[in-house]
Amino acid sequence: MTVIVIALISIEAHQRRIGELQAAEYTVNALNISNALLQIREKMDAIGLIRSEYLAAVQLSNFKVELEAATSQLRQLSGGQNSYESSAAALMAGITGVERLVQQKNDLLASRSILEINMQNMLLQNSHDERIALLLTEALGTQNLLKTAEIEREIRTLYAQSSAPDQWTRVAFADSGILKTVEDLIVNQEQIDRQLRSMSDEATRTAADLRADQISLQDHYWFSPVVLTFFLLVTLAVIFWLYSAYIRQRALGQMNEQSRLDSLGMLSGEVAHDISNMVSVVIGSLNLLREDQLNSRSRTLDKALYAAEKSIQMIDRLLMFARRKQLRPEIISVNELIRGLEEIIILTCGDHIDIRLNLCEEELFLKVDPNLLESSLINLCLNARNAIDDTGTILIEVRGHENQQVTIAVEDDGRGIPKAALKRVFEPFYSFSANGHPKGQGLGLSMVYGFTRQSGGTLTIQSTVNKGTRVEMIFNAH
Amino acid sequence: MRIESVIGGGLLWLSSSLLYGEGPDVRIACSPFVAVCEWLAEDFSATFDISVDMTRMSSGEVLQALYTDPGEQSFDLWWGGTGDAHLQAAQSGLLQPIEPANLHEQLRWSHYFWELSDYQSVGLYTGTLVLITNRAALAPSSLQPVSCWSDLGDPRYRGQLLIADPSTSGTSFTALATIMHLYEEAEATRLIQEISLNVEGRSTSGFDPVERVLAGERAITIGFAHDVYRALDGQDQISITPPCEGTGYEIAAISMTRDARNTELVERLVEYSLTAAAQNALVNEVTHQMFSNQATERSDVYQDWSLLDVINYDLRFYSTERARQQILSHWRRP
Repeated sequence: MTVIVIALISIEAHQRRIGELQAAEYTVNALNISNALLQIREKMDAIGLIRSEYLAAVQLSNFKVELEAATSQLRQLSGGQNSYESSAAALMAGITGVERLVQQKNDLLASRSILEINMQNMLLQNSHDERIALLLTEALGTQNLLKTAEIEREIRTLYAQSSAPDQWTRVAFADSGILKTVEDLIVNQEQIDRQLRSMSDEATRTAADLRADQISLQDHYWFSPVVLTFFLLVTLAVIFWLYSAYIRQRALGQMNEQSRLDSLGMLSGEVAHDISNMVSVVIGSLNLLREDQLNSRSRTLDKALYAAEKSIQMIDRLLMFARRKQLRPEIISVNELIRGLEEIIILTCGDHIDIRLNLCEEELFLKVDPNLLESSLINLCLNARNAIDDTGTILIEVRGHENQQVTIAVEDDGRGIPKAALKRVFEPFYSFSANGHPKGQGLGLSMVYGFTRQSGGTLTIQSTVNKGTRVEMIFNAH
Repeated sequence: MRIESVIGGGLLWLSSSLLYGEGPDVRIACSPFVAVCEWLAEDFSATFDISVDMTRMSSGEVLQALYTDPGEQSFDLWWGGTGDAHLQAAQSGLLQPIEPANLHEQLRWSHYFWELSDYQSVGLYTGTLVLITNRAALAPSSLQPVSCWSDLGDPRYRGQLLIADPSTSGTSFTALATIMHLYEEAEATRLIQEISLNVEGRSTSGFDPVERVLAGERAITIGFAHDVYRALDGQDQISITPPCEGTGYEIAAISMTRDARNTELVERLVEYSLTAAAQNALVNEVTHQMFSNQATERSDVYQDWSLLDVINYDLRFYSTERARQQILSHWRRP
């Protein structure tokens, strides 16, 4: 459960990272917008210097287009549903502010133009002193309050020096008005410029932050030790989770298989035991009948006796599977036992099968029932033979292990067994044949399984279709 | 002196003596050059019949003192000094609002400064920066006098410059802010660093380097036009150039500190400093700045209109702590 939660968190974190990376891509746009804002500010300064209302209007019209493009980019940016949305909104607000300021600046320019015209009219009407007219014109082109102040001071001096100060009163009032208006325009412009500067600085900072995030994401995302460690841990967790699930599944499967076989063995054992008792009675009765009718040949009786004996053999195997068979273990030399069986096996399997022995060099000893071990080996060889269509090889191998175990394996290069069937081959009466025609009663492997288990060993089977099958009996060495 | 003033001054002195013992009636931090401060101390004492504790300190030093030594031991009145330092003090809550009765007599920039400071400082005088070259001191290197801000960063002038530390000198800080305003940030940063590399020698006050350059100790410096004209004294080896890119300016201010003791007296001193009478006594006699009152005479230094081609210097922006730290970080102390 913990592993699943970790995996989910890691997936969520990864997706968020991807989202951030996508957002970081937008920062390029943000940077462009910031640059556009800076350019706008420069152009605003330029507009301030333009005396022609027409040119200013043309410039403003161009800005408007640029601003609209920038705003459109920002709208895309803010539609990204990510943490950069607020930054984008801030930039958007900045742009809106710039638009407003552009409008104000436009108004300012218009005021300046009107003022210029008014001033010309006043100068004409009042036959103004030429020096004052020049100073006022100078003031109108001035961008700073220091100069207008000194112009004002100079005009005052000129008035003071005038031979007829009374005549100038009205003009002086008008001049004072002109200067005040010019100064107001300068202050307004300063305020607008300050706001513009502040906005574009803010935009630059925001864009720089976004840019830094982007660089950080791009440069350090995959190489960051923290991220790498995180992903390593997640990978290990996932691997561990998958592996443990596999192990659990396999153990469960084996347990089920074992349990099923045990149940079957128990059932088989009970039934076989009862049937064995009953068949023994049948055989006993048949033998009495035969003795009574001695010398009279009854084919029917012979058939009945044959069938009953076969039944006993079958029941013996079932009992063997059910581990109810009475064992008579002896200490045997494995190599010796197998060499003794070699001829029988060759005869049983036929000429078309090559029987090979790969025995262990050192002498190995087991304490098992020799008859049943022989019987098991012959059974395995018969199965192997049945799996070979034309010609093939059966390898009988004996190996000793350092952990005091001995493996006796029978391997063929026949048709092999499909995985689905492989699970059931130890079940009694389960017979598998690749061509759909089972051979035998399906008790051979069950008997071998029962015998091996009853002898304290294990039986394993590995098979690949069209490559062959290998069955291993593993016993503890004596 | 009118009898009311004498009585008023006497009462003032009496009340302040009772309240504060035998200490001065007013403590003034004075940031212009020392002759102005001396004149002020004498004039204030005589006009108001008060005892004045006048301390000459650069704007940066006053700011530092206000930050580190607030309370009763600090100053009551801050007279002159570059406006950005006053604005920063205002923003930091180290001043208190004032509204002199003769505010309407002040020129627009003075009034504007008062608005910028949230009504805590009034623009008192102004002046613009110029480049100053002592041609005689420069002669051995056969270099031309500087004419632009960018010339100051020219490596050929290595060791020829003397510029005060911008962290204490309002003059130097205004010059660096002007460069920041004129150039793109990266270029301005580079230029400031190059200028600091050309500087040889240390100084904390804005007009100290002017005097040392005029004396021939170094060849080049920057200063306010009024400071250099004051000290020129007929020297013909000095070139004074308004920078070709446009120049920066200061609006020097007058402020009452937050912890000022005798606020009524301080208000009167502020108002008096803003009168045409007081300013006319100073201008062209003691000093050459452009004063704030409309009726004050023109400074003879600034009759030259070319000295008034100033940039649209954003006083409020360059008074912020962020802008200040940013600019100072580019400066490498010699």
